[in-house]
Amino acid sequence: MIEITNFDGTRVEKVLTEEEQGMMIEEVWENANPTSSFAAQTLPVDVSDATLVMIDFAFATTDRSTRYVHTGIVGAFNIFYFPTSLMGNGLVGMACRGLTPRIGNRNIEFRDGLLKGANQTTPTTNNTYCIPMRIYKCKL
Amino acid sequence: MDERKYALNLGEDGRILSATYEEYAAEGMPIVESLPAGETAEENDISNYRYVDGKYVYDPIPQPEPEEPVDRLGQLEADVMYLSMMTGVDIPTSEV
Repeated sequence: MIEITNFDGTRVEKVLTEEEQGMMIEEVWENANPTSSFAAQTLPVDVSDATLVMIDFAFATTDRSTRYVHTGIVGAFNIFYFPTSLMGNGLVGMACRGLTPRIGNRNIEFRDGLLKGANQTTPTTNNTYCIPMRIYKCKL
Repeated sequence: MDERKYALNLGEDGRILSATYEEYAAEGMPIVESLPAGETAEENDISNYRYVDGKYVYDPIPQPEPEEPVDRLGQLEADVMYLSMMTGVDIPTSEV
């Protein structure tokens, strides 16, 4: 419900239609203990009425001031990569929350956290990286 | 003012996977007044606990052994020497 002031100064209250409301963003989950490891798991979060999901990741349990907000599509497998640093030799370290976690209508599947140093060929499991902090659903 | 309560996301064996606040709880998630904590970093990591019969059980996840650092230059030189032996081609390498 919003209040609209007409040109003649009169005021009316109006219930906006969905189209008039525009994009709606609602927080649907918050990590209550972000200093803890976050292993692979399925979060029961109802995003069935949403088109997009935004997940606010912290770089690590020990570095929660570095953030990366990733947008995913409901009903699809999404890729969440988090570049860590650009080394002097041009190689990039990388942390990610696994590969292709799926955002379903009523749950979000997260894989284990992975960390690959700039000089490593394969990533290693490390659940202290890429920590989900908040999840928002977006209705367009 | 009431303290916020927490909702636990549990694994099959009661392992605490994550915690959120009560207002975000899904059906079936246990609601608790407080989260487990201790004196060390491991004791403050809730994933090191299981929630069984309404109580927290400290059951830390074994930490993997740190990997030995890889001597990549040494490996590359070994690969080059092997190639040199197999092909009969003299490939110069760095001298130690």
